[in-house]
Amino acid sequence: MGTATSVEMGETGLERAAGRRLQACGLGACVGLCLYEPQAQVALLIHVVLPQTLPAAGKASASPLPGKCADTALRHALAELARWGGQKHLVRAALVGGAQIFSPFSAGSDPAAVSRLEIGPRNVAALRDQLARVGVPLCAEETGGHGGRTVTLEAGTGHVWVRPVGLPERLLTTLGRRSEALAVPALAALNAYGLREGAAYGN
Amino acid sequence: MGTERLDALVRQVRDLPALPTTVIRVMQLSNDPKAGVADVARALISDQALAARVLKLANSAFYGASRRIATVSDAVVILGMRTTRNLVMASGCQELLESEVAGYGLPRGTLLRHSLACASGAQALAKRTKYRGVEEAFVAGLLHDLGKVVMNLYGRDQFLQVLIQAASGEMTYADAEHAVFSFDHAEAGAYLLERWNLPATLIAAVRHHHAPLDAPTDSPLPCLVHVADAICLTLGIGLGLDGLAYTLQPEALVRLGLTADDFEAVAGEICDTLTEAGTVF
Repeated sequence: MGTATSVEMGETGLERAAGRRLQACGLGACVGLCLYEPQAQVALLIHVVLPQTLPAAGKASASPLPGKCADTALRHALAELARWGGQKHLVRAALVGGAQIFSPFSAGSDPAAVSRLEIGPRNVAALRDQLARVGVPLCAEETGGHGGRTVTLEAGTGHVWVRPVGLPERLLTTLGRRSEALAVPALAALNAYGLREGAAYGN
Repeated sequence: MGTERLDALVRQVRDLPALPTTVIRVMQLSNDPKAGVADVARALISDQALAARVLKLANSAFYGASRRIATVSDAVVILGMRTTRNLVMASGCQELLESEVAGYGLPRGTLLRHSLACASGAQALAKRTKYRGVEEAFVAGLLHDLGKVVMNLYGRDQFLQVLIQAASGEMTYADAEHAVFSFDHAEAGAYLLERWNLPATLIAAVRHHHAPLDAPTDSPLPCLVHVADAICLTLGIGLGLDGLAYTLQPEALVRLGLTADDFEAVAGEICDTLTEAGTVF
């Protein structure tokens, strides 16, 4: 594969030209929110950092990055997709990242204190909630675990590639194939069975 | 402790990373009561490349100086001797931190980015705790993983064994390093800083950055670096083959008088700082 446009923390990347790729490298607790509109063939990738917007301490203004927090990222993403000709009811999503940090070895520590510091699972939960609220189907996700990942989204096909640190890249899903999308209620049912890491719903 | 083993390993190779002579000279002058601002500025100007790096760092989003520092003399007068000394120290290590650290799967520039983000985070946390040594927190954060460079130089062939041990999922990466080398990268970094005759509080912060509650000091530096490092790993800044296989000690936050909201807020600040800094470093 050729080069990809890097999407850094809090940034939003958009591509429409077939074969052009967007990439978020070294996702830890951060989540790569991949959105694809197959008709307009617009790909959008946001590198989401935090589950919620916190008041900025000692700063004159809030962060200039609407994609930084899960509570503002999706609204911003859908507005950007619409600006590029995407239709909301055709948009499909995938999530990658949201790793848990440290917990398996934090024995002796208060589990509640550790859990509150686990930004990754909270990022994933917040984004799932946002997607469900606006009715965008979540077609695949590779989240959780204890390792970093890189996600790549390709315009023209909606291919979502995942490369865990130290492992080869693999295709997680193809968001361009409309027939593979599952409605959110069906996704919720799958989630109830614990399908989360590496799950590509409908594939 | 694997100090004997570390000594033996280092003896096998001739060139332990050295501090630039100008850095050593500035450190000496900053501790000399007879030396003045002009002496420090003159010593620094003698190394133009280092002086340029100091100014670049002083004016970067990572350091967050309240006003623009245009010259070396400005730096010494406006920031003071102590801050200038720390910036010189940090700039002197930049080349080492910028190198590729293959043993940890870190491409060129990645460890420096992680170190600067950790420095900026430790500084932000120090401000929140009203700790007076904000500059020391910055330098400790910057140097905390210097030991990875040492390990990479001397232990390159054994990293596969470390990875295999860590991949079992039953121990932290630092424990896996211990199992293979008899010391870990935190100890290797502290060892190097001892050789450089740096202050004991800085050495303790580096040695205990993965287990700050074990540090035999009342200084908050080890806890500040530990939490800042945890935030950077959470954000995936400088994730290498060691990934996220480290221990978080939430008690470090409690000891600093900080909350989970502070942890999250500083994560947001680091993200903004990196965005603002762009590709400066």
